[in-house]
Amino acid sequence: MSDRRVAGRARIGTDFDSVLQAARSGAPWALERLYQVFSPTVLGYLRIQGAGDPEDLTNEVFLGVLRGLAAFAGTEEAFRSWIFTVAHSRLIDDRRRTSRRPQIGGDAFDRDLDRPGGDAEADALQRLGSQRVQALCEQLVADQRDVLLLRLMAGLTIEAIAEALGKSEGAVKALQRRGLAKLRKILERDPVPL
Amino acid sequence: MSPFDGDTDEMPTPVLDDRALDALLRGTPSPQAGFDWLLPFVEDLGVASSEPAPVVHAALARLLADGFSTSGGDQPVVPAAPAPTPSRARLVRRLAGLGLVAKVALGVGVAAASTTAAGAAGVLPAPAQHAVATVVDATTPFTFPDRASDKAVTGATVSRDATGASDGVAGVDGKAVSDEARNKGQDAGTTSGDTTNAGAASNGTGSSGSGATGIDRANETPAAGNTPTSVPGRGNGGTSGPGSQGSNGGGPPVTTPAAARSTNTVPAAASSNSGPGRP
Repeated sequence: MSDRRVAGRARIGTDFDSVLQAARSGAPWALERLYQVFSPTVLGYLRIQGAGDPEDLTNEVFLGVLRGLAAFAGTEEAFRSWIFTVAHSRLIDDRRRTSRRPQIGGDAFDRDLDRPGGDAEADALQRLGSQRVQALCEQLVADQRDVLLLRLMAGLTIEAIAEALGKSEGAVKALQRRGLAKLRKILERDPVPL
Repeated sequence: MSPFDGDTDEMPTPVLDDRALDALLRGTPSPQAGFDWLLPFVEDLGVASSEPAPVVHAALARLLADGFSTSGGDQPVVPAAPAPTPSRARLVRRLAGLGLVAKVALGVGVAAASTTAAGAAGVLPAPAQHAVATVVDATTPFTFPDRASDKAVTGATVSRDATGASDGVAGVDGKAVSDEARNKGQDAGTTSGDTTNAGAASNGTGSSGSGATGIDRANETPAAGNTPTSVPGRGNGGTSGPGSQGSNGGGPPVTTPAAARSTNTVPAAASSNSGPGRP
């Protein structure tokens, strides 16, 4: 395995309880920490899901999450589940608002070309990888894509995904199984190296 | 359910359990046979998640910079726009329904009313205050304060005094006033004995018919014993003289026993303000 960051691994770890407690009392440093750790994964999820303006939507997600911190209590995994539940809900709202199909690899990536980056090669590889993932996910049924991204990118459990999507655990398992089968079939048919 | 519970028309796919998922997310070979093909895809998902934190917009930046305060429990206090009162809401609806010309006319009227109110309060700059006062004086029965006019009148009066037109003596100097005061002081000294004893008592050294001085009177009161033995040159009658420092207030502070007693009451007043008896 390379030293690349792996999906769903962004975490605070043993400091989470103290960070959460400080964030619940409104401490800016703790709010900032939560944002820095979890927002990149949320941004990636929204981007691959084809949100119209992923950065704007990520801001909305964290504005809601951080303002509602007082109502949350639980582990880091539960916190991650909550964030992605909010993110998915905002994504659905965004799709209804814009009334359009997910834009894969469109304006969102073009806008990113203007962003300052420290490593041009790494940025290019990142964009390429993201585009490949998006191209693959586009071939999945929407429900299968939701389940696989929440499972493999956000690292949520079956139970948490069921709650986030408002489905039964059995339905989520079935969607995961069919999604993985479809993904494997695509990769065998079109063996473009990921 | 068998581990290979895929659809009949699809390649059998093992169930991805949490152990296998954790291994994939760690980037290690899957302990569950049949998922190694998924590892590159998961790695690319990781790359897509490794962008820098997105640019923070204004509302979120404010929250991250300032945090929030909690009160009344754990609920964060989020500032919200004040809800319009019913009358305010009606006013807003009415204004929204007005035409452009009506809105312009209303705006001019509001501006004029605001300026007039400010003029009445006398808070406008001098030139503006003068202009408003002039207009109001000319068009209404009301009179507005006009500092510019006041200054002009005051200046004329002083100028006449200074030139000697008013009293025949050029300049407003201490001597001119002193003469006038001296005359008045002599008048007071002459008349005080003819009028009331109170006048003599107030002067302290008056020459009333009874011959009693203010100190004598004071010694007849419960404050006897605390009265001064001599009267400082504060009065304006008798021989205290015109233009004395006492009458002008420019002399040294007069300390009397009563004054000393009055200072004793200050700490008591201060303590009563901070005491538990304050409602």
